[in-house]
Amino acid sequence: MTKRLLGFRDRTAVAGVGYTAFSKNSGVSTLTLACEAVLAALADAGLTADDVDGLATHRVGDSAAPSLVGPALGLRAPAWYLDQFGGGSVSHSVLGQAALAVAAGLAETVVCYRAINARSEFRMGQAPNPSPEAQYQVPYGYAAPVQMYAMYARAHMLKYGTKAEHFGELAVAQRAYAVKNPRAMMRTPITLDDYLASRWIAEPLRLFDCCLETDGACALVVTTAERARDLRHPAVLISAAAWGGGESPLSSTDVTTTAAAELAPRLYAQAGLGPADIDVAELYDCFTYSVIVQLEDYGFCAKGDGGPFAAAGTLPVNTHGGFLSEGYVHGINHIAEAVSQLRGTAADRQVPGAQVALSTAQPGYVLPATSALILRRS
Amino acid sequence: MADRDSAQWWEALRRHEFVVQGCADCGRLRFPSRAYCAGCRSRSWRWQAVEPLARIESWIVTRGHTVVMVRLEAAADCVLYGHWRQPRAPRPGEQVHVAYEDADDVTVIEWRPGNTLAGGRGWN
Repeated sequence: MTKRLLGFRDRTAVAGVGYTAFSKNSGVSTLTLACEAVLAALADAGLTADDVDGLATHRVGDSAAPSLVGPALGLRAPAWYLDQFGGGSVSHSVLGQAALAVAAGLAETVVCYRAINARSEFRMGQAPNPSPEAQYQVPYGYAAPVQMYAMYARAHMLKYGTKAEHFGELAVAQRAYAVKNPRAMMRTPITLDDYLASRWIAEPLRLFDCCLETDGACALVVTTAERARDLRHPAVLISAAAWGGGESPLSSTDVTTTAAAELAPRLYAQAGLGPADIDVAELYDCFTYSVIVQLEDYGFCAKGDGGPFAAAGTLPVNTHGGFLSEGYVHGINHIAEAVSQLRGTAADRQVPGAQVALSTAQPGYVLPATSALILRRS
Repeated sequence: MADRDSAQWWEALRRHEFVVQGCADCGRLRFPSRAYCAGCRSRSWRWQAVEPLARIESWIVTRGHTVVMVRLEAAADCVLYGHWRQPRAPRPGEQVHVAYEDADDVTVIEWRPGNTLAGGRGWN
């Protein structure tokens, strides 16, 4: 089905980026983290809380809602807000929906945030899994995201010959980026031997295949492209935003292909671009395998070649270190890194001349849905 | 654990009956249990006994315990999980059959190698 694009492309921009520190124990509430990141993003844009008329986040019962953050910051009644249920699958749709609201004129300055104490307060996998599919998995001790990703990683290894070394080279490369990132939680270089010696978490995935459990928050200011050009930083345009559903993992005929394969053509068509135009990719890396399958499903290499492609390192991927080494803020820190790269402010880890970035959400395994963005320098 | 869509499936498993839903209109088999056929959107269905045979698609090992993911031979879009209690690792694509494991209040599935029918020993 061909859809007419009614003026979304490049109409909105990310004008501000804010972070809290990333740690294992923030010592503060998610409300405090959210407020700190929102204020930091506004300061980065050269704006104040009085300029904000929209707030957006996603949560799984683990964080402060816009209805809490707005009053806490003394915001005038927001014109628009979004409190999206969901985890990593919807991370990029939050920014996409904020951009839609701004493009439609419902709001002018929306701050998107995600604030979590994912190590000290609400650890992943501790809350009951709300999916009805869990009843067919949990009795076997199959419940944690790492186990699900391990299952799909092995299916990919069996079908396409993907090797542990491919996962390992990716983990090593992301750590090398994190070494150059002052915000990153893991800044000691690792080698492929270190990777191969790291302990099993759920075989075939090892410790260094896994993201960090992180306390922290990140926020992004979305406004019109026009207004962003008058603010402090080079405008980073939102060229495309797409989200959508895939197959249930219990009804999928091919578990080595994700919802991203269906989404990618829509996303690229929106931007009028293709994989060859992407200079830097910030891909959801809850586990190494997630990156490998997305390299295929977003068209950077043929199906099955994601392992060797990732190991070769020809495309700059997760230049902040990713969830594996920077920290895990459920997706939004990938978008923030894409913005830094496109502004040209990523310092030692800057990809020279980066003009176009792809950033993606959980590709559709744990929950059969995904979301993604294409951003470009104005 | 069971919900309003799945209660009867778990009850059948408790009786050591291996069933999935079959669409009464288009015949498509489906699992997990739910009201509507994803193929023709009909709400008419019946429980249908199918051969409890599957093929190994993947497995993981967590703290020494192996969990397998299998695909039913009777329906390619039905994926199930289960225990693996053999002394050896599963083999990709190998045929397995259901063995029922009764706990106090629920019956779960262990997948065992081969097709026991071939040996004439029944399903369990």
